[in-house]
Amino acid sequence: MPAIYVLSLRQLQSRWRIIALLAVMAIPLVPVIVAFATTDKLSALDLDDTLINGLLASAILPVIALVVSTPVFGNEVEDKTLANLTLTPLRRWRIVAPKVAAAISISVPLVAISTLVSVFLAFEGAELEGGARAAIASTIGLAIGAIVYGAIFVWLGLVSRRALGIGLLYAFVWEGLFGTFVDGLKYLSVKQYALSILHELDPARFDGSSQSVIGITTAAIASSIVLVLFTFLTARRLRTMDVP
Amino acid sequence: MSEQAAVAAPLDPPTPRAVIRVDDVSKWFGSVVAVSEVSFEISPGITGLLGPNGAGKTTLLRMITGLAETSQGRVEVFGGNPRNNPELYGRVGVMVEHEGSYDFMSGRRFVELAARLRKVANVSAAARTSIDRVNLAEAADRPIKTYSRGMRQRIRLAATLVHEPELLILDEPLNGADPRQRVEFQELLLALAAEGRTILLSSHVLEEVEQLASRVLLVVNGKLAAEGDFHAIRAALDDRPYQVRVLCDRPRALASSLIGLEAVDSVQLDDGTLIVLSSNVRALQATIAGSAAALDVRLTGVEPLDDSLESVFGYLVER
Repeated sequence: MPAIYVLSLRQLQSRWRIIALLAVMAIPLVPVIVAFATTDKLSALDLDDTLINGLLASAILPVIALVVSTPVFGNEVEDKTLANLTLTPLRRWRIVAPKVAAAISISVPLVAISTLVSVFLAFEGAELEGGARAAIASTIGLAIGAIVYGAIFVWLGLVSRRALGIGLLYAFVWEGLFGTFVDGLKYLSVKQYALSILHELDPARFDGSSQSVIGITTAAIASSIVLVLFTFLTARRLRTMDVP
Repeated sequence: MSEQAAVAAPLDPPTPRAVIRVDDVSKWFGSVVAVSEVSFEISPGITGLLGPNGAGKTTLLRMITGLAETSQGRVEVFGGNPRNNPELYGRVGVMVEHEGSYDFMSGRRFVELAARLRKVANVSAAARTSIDRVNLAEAADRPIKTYSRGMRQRIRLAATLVHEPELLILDEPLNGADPRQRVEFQELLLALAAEGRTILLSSHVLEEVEQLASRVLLVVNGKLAAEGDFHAIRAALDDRPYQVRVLCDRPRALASSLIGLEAVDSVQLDDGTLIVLSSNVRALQATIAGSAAALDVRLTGVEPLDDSLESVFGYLVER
């Protein structure tokens, strides 16, 4: 439903949200400066550990996705405007799909720009070959992560009024600790899907990465399943909840 | 209508033209019962849902619109369950209680959005017609955040009407309207009803409903206390015994003076508190005031003893 998509894009344009997002996007420039400044040059795997996994995938990606996606329904619940959408002859998925699309349309470019610029510059700073390829691979991997997180956090914004806090806990505790260090849980970690995809898109730089990987096909299938599952759960929640 | 007929009773069999059927419906939140075993039917025309704030009107309307699930019982709108029934919303216009509009939009964009969401064929024309109907054409291109409360209510009504619904459910639609807007609003609703639409509107102000709805549902403490013709209910209520507590500096003296007066059925003194039973509320008010003045008794309060239908109705009359 284009009208809901446009409405949702407009609702997400708050001044403070934009300032917060720009600030978050700029954080990866710090390790870029370090990469330029240090005399003992970093390897591609060093940058993978610190910048791509340590910062972009673990913090920048989930935080941008959270800040953009949880208000998509959360604000409608808070402002009591959700009834404007549900009291219409639209099937629930036709309300949810454009909302998820709107969240993704904002978070994906932000994550992509932050990743593309910081990874490319870091490789340049470390005087490594193939910075462009590594940056593009990282951008694709993390953009897919932003899409999957978008669906999860849109759902979270509908089911909880404390979505931001719960989302941060999820990102840092589940994804950051369990998903990284508990081997079996990597199949249930969006961050691992993103890393797996980007590592396999540029094996020349990232082969031998210390980050656990699950294979690009598995990661792509798992990402698709999570995206569809959480879009479905959001539509089901919209059907069963008492709309304020 | 007799007093007995005015008091709520289970409804069956259904009337053939019932647009809304509410059958033994209850809603509770944890241990709090918001609506309790309510049954009624609504047919075309204007029906007023009347009751004080917190009586359960909004909860009842939310169940009728499908926004909230019933805890018990069944609601039917046009013969179907309104819950999770998107097709039904093409025939229904709902104006919820809170001012849920998008402040950054102009009034016209808001109404056009409502038209698009309801799959109206000619969005611009439908929005223009609807805005004209609520007499807001001049301000239609201003952002909603600049509107007064009354204007917000009108633009929300325009959005509610934009798809020409057969059934209108309006929760406290006259909130924030000034007297002139109130008259215009009432004329519009009467015109819509004359077109054969069904309108159910809630209010906690008796006069609002009195001028619009010949049929009234009176909700008190989550229960349907009375339903039927407005004037019959009012007459029936006036004849019922009414218990009031009179607070004054010399209750014994005032009690003595009230005994035997026409408006007073009985008088009792309980721990220095004067309680008067009367079948004629209006006469009682004058009688108490007159007797107190004659005896130079200082009245500090005259209040209903319970939360009964009578006391609520009295409260509404005074509003």
